Amino acid sequence: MTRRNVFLAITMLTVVAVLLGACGAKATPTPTKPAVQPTTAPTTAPVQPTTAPTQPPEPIKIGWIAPKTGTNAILGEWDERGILLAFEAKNAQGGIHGRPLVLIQEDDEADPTKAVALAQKLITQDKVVAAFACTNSTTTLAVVDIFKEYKIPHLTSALNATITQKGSKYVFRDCPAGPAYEKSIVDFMVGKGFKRFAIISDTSAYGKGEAEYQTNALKAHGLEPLTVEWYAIDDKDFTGQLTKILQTNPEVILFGGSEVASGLIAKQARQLGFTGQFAGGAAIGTTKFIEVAGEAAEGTYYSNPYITNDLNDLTRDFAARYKARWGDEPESHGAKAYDGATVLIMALEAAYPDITPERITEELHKICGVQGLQGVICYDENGEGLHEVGIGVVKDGKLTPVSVK
Amino acid sequence: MKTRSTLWKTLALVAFLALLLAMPKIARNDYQVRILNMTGLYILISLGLNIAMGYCGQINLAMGAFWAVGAYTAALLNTNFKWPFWLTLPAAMVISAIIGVVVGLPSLKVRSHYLAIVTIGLGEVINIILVNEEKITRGAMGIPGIKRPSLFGFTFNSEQKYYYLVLVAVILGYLIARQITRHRFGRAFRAIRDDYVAAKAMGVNTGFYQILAIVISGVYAGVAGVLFAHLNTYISPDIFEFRSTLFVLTMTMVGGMGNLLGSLVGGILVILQEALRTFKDWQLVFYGVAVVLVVLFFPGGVMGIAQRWRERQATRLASAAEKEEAGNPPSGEVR
Amino acid sequence: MTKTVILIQTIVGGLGIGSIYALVALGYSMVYRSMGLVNFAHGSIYMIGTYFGIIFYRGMVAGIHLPYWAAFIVGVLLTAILGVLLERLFRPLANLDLMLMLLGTIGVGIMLDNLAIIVWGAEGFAVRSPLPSKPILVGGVSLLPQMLLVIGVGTLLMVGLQTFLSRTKVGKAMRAAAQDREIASAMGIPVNFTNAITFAIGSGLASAAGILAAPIVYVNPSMSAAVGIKGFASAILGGLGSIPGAIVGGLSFGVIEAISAGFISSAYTKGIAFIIMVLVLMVKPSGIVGETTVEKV
Repeated sequence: MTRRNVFLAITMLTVVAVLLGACGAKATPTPTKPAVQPTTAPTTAPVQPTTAPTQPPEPIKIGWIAPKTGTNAILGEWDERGILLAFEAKNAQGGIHGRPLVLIQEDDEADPTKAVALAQKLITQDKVVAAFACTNSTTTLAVVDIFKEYKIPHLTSALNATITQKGSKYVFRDCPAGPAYEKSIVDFMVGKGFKRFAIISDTSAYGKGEAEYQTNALKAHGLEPLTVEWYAIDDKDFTGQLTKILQTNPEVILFGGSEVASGLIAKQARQLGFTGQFAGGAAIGTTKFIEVAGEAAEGTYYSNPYITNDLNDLTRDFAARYKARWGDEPESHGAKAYDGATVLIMALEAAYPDITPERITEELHKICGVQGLQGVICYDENGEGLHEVGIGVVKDGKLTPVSVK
Repeated sequence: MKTRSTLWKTLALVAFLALLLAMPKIARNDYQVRILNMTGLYILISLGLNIAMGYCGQINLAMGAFWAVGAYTAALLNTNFKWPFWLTLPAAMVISAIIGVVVGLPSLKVRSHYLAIVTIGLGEVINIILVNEEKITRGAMGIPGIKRPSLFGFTFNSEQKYYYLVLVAVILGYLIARQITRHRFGRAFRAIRDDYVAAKAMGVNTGFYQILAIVISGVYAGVAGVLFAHLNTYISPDIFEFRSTLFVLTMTMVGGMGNLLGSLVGGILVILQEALRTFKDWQLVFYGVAVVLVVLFFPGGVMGIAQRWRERQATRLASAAEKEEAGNPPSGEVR
Repeated sequence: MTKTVILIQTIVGGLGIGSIYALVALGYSMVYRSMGLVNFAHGSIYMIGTYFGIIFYRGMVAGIHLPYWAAFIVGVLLTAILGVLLERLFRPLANLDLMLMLLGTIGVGIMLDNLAIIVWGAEGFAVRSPLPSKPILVGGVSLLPQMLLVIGVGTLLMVGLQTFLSRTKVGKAMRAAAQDREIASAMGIPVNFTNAITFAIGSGLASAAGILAAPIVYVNPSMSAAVGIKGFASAILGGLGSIPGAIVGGLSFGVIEAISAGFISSAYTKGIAFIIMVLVLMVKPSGIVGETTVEKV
């Protein structure tokens, strides 16, 4: 035996291993195995329809791609909670005509490469009929084409405006797009008479997008930001950026980045002697921002379609059930996901008994006039369903409505 | 005896190739083919890393950045100037080679840990440029709409079709790497790796070969980048962060550093990673444990185990010890 | 604000975050000096160390609410113990090739990070400062009490470490063992013991850095990555293996970051810091105060 034979033999073995790996993986789609999380399984037995007494009704598989680990893990957690709350409630009532909803969850670690592969897994291996994908702008931008290619509808809670401009009729946003948030807050602040704005944002697709929408909204009023400063998503000290901002003597600092970083910036800006106003979009109207910023959050204006848990009967009911299920106060991300799950359930009901991706897509496009937690949802051909964003203010450490749209 | 061995070899090779060709048919769905395609791309990057680190001892922890450079060159030329894959590929190779010289220069001054952080730093710088030079790269939003390649009217527009493109690239990449490491360059690389001072004293142009090793590794990653851009049709800077370099490094070490077959074998890690998904929250914990175990008990990787097994075979059949060709160095030499 | 005030303000901010980098860099350098090991799990030890202290401060363990200083001491001690345990795990890695070392320690880091996610969740939390959040104004420069605490305690720890290494018997033994294992063990110095102490001190310092920084930053399991890399870059910038080098490297890295954010380009902050590091190494390959490298491997 020559040395090379051995090599070949080993390589063969490897390929066999590869094969086994590939084939082994195919065992997963059986709905009983890991796909079903304990939390997703219906808590009470679904009401058995009389038409199919012999075999249990086939579950409806819905995919979910979001980060469960890494810096963005919190987005995944909020999203998951909102969806599961809606799904569990539906399953407790017997699901879609007896067919329970099952959420097949995949962790993308906020990595676009992973997100694309996982989208293919959910579509071609698990054969989901619809999906929630994704929570981050970059991952969503990466998977839009995949869902379009396989003609599977998906709901996203990411804000980047270009997501719905890629010519896919299969993408639906479960909240307003980024520009709506930033236009609302900028219009409101300009309306209050402020003229001197500085922007600070992170260099992720989300942060870059929000800063751009803020700049555009200011331009619509004939204003320019005094300066736009950037930070990397894992930065913790913002003295450099803030001293530069303070030199321009702004009345308002607009936040374009995430909850945690914006909270730290608010705190550090106050410590550096900034006495002006803070304002921002989606990330600012969250309990996380208030937790991090502490006293510095007081008086911060934010724009959000979900201003507070105490808005109307719908939000109060949602908040109570969310608290009972997860032990936490809900916030806008959970509400977004809940709205998304609600319209998906409606589309599934309408598509029944023909639960196919194509039918679900059709029915999602027909959704109009549905009262959600964030307002009245009405999808257009691009998959944008919400356009109105209200304004809130942080008062006594609580999210408080100022104007509701 | 000799002819039987050749026959066996040929048969095995044919069977192996047939198996590779049949893979897309064996795989159950697009997702599995996707994983195979990604495995192929990672193998290409790993081959490059193996040449630089395993053969020449040059640490290059900027592989993710080279991958990005290849992908961005292809994406920009394809979307802005409608260059087809067959033109973006050589262009990206040239650009990666140039960046390779830049990243390679510090290797003349600093070594080991210092070189490690220098290459990590330069990789970060490249990534930061991609994020911030929005006028050119579209920044964090990434570049959508990259076209799939086509050849004589045949478009590689599905995972299955693309698989064959990746397969050809990997086979070519492997054969070229074998040529590089077996001949003049390879001897110079190994001389530098094994004893830098002695190599220099023997008249090896160490500086040239050190930079060459990094350039070659960069070109491999660049090619993988082009293939990735045209496969994924959308790229953004966060795809190429340091974690991708770490992954390729891990893969190469698990397969066997200093042995090109190690890079091929290391491809299992991509599949293993997918398999670990079953463990949900624990998947990365197990991944970490697996890495530590490999380092502690199988420092030569899978090829190291093969090596040990082969050596035992060799002693048992002491008579058959005449090995005509000293192909690859024993992977134990990595250290 | 005048230009000078702004510059001083920026530098003070840089020194604050730089003290954190310096404390982390010390861990890298001490362990490298004594064991020849570059511990890429050090960022994770920093993160775990932070949790070990803060969980008591926030009453996350059986409702035990310790005052900040007590939580600090408990956290540092627990992390030092973890360090001793990890040293056992890392001992076989110390004699390996650099890349294996890198991979092995990174593997441990991945393990620790993800265990932390499983135990404490990925979300993380903000930590209340034990000191007033109102800044002290000195000539127009606002100084944050917690930041002063970071710089003060940091300095104290660094000076204490230097004294410990040069004055005490154990410290001297540690230095001897770091210089030459063989001779040291021939002279009766228990090298494994001194290594364990080194590891304990390095881990304790990382924990101290984390607990001190916690009220300024935000605590979550992914805090390990950025500080891990920047701490290592700081150690290298100053000169790996050198105690003063780690301090100089850490402080410079922090100041460079702050100045590039405030005066050059905030988008390129990290890039500029890395480029300066590369340039310094090209001029002085052994770092700012590093001795000429002794090849340990």
